[in-house]
Amino acid sequence: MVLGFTVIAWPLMAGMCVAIGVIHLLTWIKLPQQRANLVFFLMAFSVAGLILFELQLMHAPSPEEYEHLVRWLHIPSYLFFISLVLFVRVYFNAGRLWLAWSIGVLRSATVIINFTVDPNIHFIDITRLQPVQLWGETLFVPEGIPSPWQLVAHASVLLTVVYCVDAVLTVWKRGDATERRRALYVGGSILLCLGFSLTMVVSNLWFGTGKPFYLFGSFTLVVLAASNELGSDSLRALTMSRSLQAANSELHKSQQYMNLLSEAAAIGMWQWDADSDNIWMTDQTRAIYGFEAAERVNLQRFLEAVHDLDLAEVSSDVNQSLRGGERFLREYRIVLPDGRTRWVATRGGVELGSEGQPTVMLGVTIDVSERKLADERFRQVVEVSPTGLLIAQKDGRIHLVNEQVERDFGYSRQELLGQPIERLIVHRLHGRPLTTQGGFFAEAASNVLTDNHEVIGVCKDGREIPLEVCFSSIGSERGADILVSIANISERKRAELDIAQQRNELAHLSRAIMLSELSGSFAHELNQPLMAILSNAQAALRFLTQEQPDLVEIREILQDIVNDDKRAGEVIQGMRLLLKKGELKSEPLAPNTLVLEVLRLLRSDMLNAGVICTAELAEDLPQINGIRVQLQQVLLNLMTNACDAMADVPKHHRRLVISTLRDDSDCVTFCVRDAGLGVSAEQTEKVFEPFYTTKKHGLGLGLAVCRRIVNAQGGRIWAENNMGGGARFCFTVPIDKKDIAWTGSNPK
Amino acid sequence: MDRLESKVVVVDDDASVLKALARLLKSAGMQVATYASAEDYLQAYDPSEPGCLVLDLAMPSLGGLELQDELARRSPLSPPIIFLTGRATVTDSVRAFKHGATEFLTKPVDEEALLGAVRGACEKDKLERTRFAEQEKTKQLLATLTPREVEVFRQVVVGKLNKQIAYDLGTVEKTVKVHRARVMEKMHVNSLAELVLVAVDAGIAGHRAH
Repeated sequence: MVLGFTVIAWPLMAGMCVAIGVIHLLTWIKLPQQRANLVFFLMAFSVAGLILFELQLMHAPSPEEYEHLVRWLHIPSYLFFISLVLFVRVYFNAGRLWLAWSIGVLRSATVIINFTVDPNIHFIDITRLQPVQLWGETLFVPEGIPSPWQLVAHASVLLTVVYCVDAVLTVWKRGDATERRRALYVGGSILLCLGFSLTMVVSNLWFGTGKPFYLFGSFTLVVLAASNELGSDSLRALTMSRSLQAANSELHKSQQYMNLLSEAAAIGMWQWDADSDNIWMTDQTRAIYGFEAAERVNLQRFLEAVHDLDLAEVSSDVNQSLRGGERFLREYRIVLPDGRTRWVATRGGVELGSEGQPTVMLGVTIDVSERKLADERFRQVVEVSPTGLLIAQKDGRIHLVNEQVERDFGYSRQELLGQPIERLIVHRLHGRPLTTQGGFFAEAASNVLTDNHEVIGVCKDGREIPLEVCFSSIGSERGADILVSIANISERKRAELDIAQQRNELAHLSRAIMLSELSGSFAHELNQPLMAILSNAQAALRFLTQEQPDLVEIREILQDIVNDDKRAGEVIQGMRLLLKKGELKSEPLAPNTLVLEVLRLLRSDMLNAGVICTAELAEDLPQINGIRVQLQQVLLNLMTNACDAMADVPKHHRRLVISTLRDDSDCVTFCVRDAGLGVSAEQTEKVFEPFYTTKKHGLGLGLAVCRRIVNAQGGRIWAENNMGGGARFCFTVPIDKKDIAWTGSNPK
Repeated sequence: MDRLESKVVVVDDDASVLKALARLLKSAGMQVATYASAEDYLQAYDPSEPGCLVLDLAMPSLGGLELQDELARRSPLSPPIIFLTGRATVTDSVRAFKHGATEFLTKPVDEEALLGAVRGACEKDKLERTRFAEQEKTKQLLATLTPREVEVFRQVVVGKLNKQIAYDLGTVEKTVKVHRARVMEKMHVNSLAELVLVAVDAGIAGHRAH
């Protein structure tokens, strides 16, 4: 090597210190708050200076030069110590102040003494420079008389050590892991170097070991350690600042979203700060309350906006919250500056500080005017509905009733609220309980609508009234309630009864008319057996006057009389049936028997009219369900009509056919066919209308009554034209339910 | 004249009525025949049988009134009809009588009324037959007269004198007298009065001379 080790290494170290120092200087310029960087720069710069001086010292040509160098070395040395103390102070935020000041004072004294004493503070005189072989080089170590003044310098170094130790301990006590590490490295390195140097000097001077001086090169360690920590600090600071920026922008974005959402949902947010008594509010809140955009709103102003009627409650809520931090939720009216009223709903709460004092109140306000309006309208609709409306909870307790319910049952609503619904309507419905498990209320909750049910309701005065009720589910604060619609059907029931009675009356009247029309026929039917009986009896009497009456013959006669009597009885029975009024129950009937009975009644009439009647009766017909006398009435009517229709037809062509058949699965069809003129297309419907008749002396009620009878018994009646001319009137009667699945073999 | 006894025929579609009526009439000692329908009766109808008819009005197919007309068509000696009906209307009864019914009774009818009517009808029938027979005989006798005799017959029963007749016929009184005597002989009468009666019966006379 051309140049010695120290000549290369020492300037390198110095250069490194300067370089690192400058970096930190630049960092400080960028981040002026980080003063540690500046102090560090000073420290590093001074270390560089010390190193360079040391280099020169090691290669000093003469003792005088050496003395001179030592003297001037105290400039960077002073700077070093000052900056070190400052650094410890600024970086660690530790180190007793009085120690720091002491060091400062001592060091200043050192410098002063150094420049006033000749040659310098460390030596009275340097006698010679002893060459030492170190690292392949010849270095010079001073030999001479040490000055007692250097104790001051050494004292300051000692103090610095103490100061540093104390600072490290303070930081250690703080307990922060990062700080401890820092303290360890930086503080440790400082102590190490200082201690080492001190030991070197002491050993050199007092024991003349002949080794180079302070070995300031080692101080590069301090520089490195400190730089490392500083650097990471700066990095951390930079990272933090960047993430803070990112967080800020995120926050900004969130705020924007929130604004958007709150605007869209018309939610107004606000926050009252206790210290400043100022309420921050979103634009939406201002819009809801009608405050100006720039208007300053305090709590008082906020409360003043509340409507007089609601003020007491709202104030109480706010006060409670201020005291105990409770949340509140209330709907109330506010008055806008222009005088309009508005319904709002506010949810808010107060946050309390560490001593229980309110710090902020936060809240959300929504404009619920529309909902309130809808509620009001709903309430009105419910109230004025002509159908009784009742809302009950799932357990059956009445929550709401409308006026109609009050009217129907005779209770006032106060009497009904909270009462079980069984108070008004019967407990069980089709055997199922109303409100308990598996009852109708449970069913209503799961379906939207259940069918109508007819039940009996009980009024306040104990009267029972017929009702038609319907259950449905309706949402509520409790989840789901049951809406019961109650229709008082007393009128309807009465009307139904009236109609049924009228129908029966009409049928009866029609039968009476028919009876009078058929009276000739009845008379004839009775006269036949009466004639037979009379003749038989009189013949028998004659026979008895003979000498030897033929008893066999007489017995025969008597038997014939009995038969004829019965026959007469049947005829009268038929008459009575026609005349009978009430007691019209449906019963199972044999269709063909019905036809034959009617045929017997009409036999003579038809003979009289010259009508030839044929019966085409199906075999094995099932029984039908109907009112006997009314169905006979229908058949009679159709047949007499048929006879009348053929009045103008030449005698031997008056054919009437009555038939029974089963072509539908659940009813039997009766048909009466005549050979008259038939019915026109429009007549097929019109003939069934009341008071429509083509007869000269007809009332026109017959077919209308027939239709009523047939319809009431579940059948149909209609008229059509025959293929071969004439008309055909048919009607159906439902089969008796028991026989509905039956297919055949039933004795007629 | 009536070799056969009068037979009462009963026609009614009601079986028990038919039976009872037959019994009653038999018990009164009459001859009875029964038919359940007008057609059956017509098939068996014999105009030469004396008797009467007890007839129901309302019967299927051929009714009582139609039968009445049919019988009248078939023979001038159709039996007298006693209508017996369970359903009497004025229209029916008027029509029955106009078409020659003897009696119109309503069911139930007492034996007195029925038997009385039947006896009367049978009597009437007998008389009619007798009369008819006599008429036939007279007609036969008339056929034996010559045309001149017939003329004289006519004039005599009108009450004309022989003289007048002779003048009308362009002959003498004597001839007329001879014809007159011949006529009386042929007609088996003995007096003018009888001749007139015969003439009236035969339908030759009936108008008075102007």
